Amino acid sequence: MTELLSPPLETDAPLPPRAPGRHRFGAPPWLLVLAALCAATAAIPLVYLVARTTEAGLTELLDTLMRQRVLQLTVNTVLLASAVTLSCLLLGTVCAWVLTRIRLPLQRTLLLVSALPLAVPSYLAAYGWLVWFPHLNGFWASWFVMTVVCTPYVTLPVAAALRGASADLESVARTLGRGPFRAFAAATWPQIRPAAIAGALLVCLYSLSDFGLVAMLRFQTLTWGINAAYGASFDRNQAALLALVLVVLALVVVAGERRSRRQVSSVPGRSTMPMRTPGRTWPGYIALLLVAPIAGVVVPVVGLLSRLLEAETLRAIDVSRLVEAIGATLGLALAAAVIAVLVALPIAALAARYRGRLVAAIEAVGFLGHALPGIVVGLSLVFFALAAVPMFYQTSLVLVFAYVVLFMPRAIGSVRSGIAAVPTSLGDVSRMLGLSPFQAWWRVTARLALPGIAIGALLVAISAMKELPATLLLRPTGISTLATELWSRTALFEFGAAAPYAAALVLVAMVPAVLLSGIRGTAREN
Amino acid sequence: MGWVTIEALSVSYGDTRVLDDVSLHIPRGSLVAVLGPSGCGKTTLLRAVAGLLPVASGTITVGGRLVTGPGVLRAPEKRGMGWVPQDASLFPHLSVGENIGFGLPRTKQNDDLYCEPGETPGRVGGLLAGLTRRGRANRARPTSLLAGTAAHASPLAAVPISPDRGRQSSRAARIAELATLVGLTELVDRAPSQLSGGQAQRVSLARALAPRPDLILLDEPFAALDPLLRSALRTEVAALLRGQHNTSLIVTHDQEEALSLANFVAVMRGGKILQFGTPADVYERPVDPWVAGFVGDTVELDGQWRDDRVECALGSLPADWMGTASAPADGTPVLVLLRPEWLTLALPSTERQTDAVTTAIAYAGHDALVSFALPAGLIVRARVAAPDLPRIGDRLILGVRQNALAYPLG
Repeated sequence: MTELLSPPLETDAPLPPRAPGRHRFGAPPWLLVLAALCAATAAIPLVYLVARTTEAGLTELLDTLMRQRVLQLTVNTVLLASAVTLSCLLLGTVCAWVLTRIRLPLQRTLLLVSALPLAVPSYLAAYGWLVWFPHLNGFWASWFVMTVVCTPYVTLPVAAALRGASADLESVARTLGRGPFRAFAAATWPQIRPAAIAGALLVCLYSLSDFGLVAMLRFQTLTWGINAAYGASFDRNQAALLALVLVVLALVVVAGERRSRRQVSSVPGRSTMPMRTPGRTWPGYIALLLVAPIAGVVVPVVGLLSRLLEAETLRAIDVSRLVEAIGATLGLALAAAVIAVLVALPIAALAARYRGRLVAAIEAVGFLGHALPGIVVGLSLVFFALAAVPMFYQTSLVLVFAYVVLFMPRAIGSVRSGIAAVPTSLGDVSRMLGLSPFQAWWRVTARLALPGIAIGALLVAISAMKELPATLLLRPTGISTLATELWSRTALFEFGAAAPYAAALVLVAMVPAVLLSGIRGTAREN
Repeated sequence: MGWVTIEALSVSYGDTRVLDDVSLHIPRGSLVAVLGPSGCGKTTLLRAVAGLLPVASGTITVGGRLVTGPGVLRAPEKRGMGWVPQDASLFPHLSVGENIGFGLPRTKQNDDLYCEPGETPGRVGGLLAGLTRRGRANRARPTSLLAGTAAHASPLAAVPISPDRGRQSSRAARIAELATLVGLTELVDRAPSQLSGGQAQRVSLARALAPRPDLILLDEPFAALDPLLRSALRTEVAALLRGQHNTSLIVTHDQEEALSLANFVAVMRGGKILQFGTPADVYERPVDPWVAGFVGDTVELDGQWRDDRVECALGSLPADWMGTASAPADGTPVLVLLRPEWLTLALPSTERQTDAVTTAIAYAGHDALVSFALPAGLIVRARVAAPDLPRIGDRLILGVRQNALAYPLG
């Protein structure tokens, strides 16, 4: 299950160094054009959204922007995102420090367990808490549940950075007369800071764009406002405007993340940290580590199970409806995975082998979905489909397209590392042995990059299964996925009726996760 | 004209010119080494010959066929060249045998080696050897290359091969032949990850040789190996390439490798070829002091040119003028250059004035570099065979057994 945690983090992993001599001559034009076309599809929602909002005119735009309601939603969003980011940063860093510096029993298991909250969609966690406490709502409830769900985004990269950080520096600082805390601050913190900031910004992005959790816990943020304005259907301009505000916030965060990524510099030195034996305080440390997994996984899952196993619930299960939802979820996710990988392939092939401004720009556009909240993509594609391709409106095609835009970055990330891991010299050798460029690609590069390509497809499939806001806006009438069924039951406080869908969602999402750990395992062996 | 002719070749990366007007003629069946420090453009030259990168100007012809020229850039796969990269670059998803056979034409039915039950691909060559007249002759007279496989031939060798397997068998036979050639018959079923560095490099060579290329290109093929293995393998590879009558172009930064392997050495610096000649030419008559220093140790002294001799700290020595213009006027200051092994030692006598004091010995087992202080205060180094080593403080007379080289100053 822990494999689930990597998707958003994977793009941060350093790529293997690219072979010299190849990229200096630039990419072949046909590949550039193809990759640019593929990347352009990812830009459709944003471009259309901007076009749609500016259509109304600047004065009206400013007018709406200054409305009490819009300001309130924006303030709420920023407040929640900052509070969650801060608390995750603190809790995550402390957890990472405990995981890497304290000698605890079952160390490896503890690391796996602290990653678990990432496997639970935020709205499922919120649902689980509502089962126990139906009156939970507002800022503090949202802050708490969101924090425990997002903490691993900080814990995992910081723990990895701590394990890679040179221990020599801190020892030197200690011998020069610093106390343990000042030595940590002076020597180790600078080494792990990029990882911590990158993790914190992921948390920030997640809490900005989350819809299910805040809506279930009834805290009014921009995503909630967009959905409400859209639902009210008389004010679609306002929905578009709110979406634009949200996108601007998200892009600011992503720009910040990009900047923090560039600061990574490694210090050579031994990375074996002196592990401290905790003495009698070890239960305290373990309790600290378990806060997020218990609150983010155990409480919701036990709540879910308790509801599921009630006789009343079991009797009321509408099996055919459940099977239909499972089928729709799997079918949509599969279609999204295949198309996303096909679209990502040229971009990834380009980014893995060539450098330059144009290549970087194409890759960045492909990664746009990373910054776009699901509800924004959903809304913008509703407008786009209605205006540009009305015959496709209310078809699964538009929904699959939304998934492709949203999750293409995951496919690009893993396909790119898969291709980059294949040495360019193998391509040269096969050319010299009489293969045309396409034969060489097919028989050697694609064959060796296959695990990376499969991982990309599975990551997209998992994310698409759990996606809620865009699915709510774009699903054709009569088609329900597990996520939307869970959502509509919970919205009506029918927690018992929602339980089977929640359980099915957890189980169905586990299938690609298990496949994923299998592929990763064999890939590692090779 | 050579078998491979490179004329006025230039390659640029953006504004940087990496190869500048390079011309090189490679005679058929010879092994040419391109020797230069890292970054001198030698790998670029190899890649340009391979067709793996575009050139700014110049032509490359192989056996009279223009492969690179104005408006011509034949694709790498259509050049008929073999490529042995520095890191072996075996295909990790294919077995050793499949790697060797990668460049051989494949049959429609089966990509892999087809084998009868109980028969291993390595023995297919042996099978053939048992069936053909030549093979039987080889078996009787186990001196040729195929003898190794014939010795492995199983009792199954009597099973006749159906005619439709002819092409398949010839492919398998070629793989087995090459596996034998590089001494890896036992390893054809292994995965590349199970090979040592030297074995991997042999497979890489066998793979390049399999399609019988017109030219083999080797890009520092021994650089990644440890020193002991390196010298053993390179002798073996040189013998193998000569035995197959291959024309080969090898790139290296190791002067010992270049001098010991090649028929001809091209010394490169800054994208230009400074000297092309036999190893002895390049070592004993380097065109300038930089080439002299790059291919070996030198003794450098200031001197004056006087009537085909130079006057320097070692006395008046017979010398050859190495400048491009004709010999200079008497009294012109020149740079005198010797190799340490050209110096000889003798016990002091009264007629000769020049004597030297042994100041340091850099011992290397078989011989040593011995430093001598001359009366003028200069230090010169001589290579002395181990049995003749003086002791520190010994006074000796230095002689020179070969004409000194005189170069213009600056």
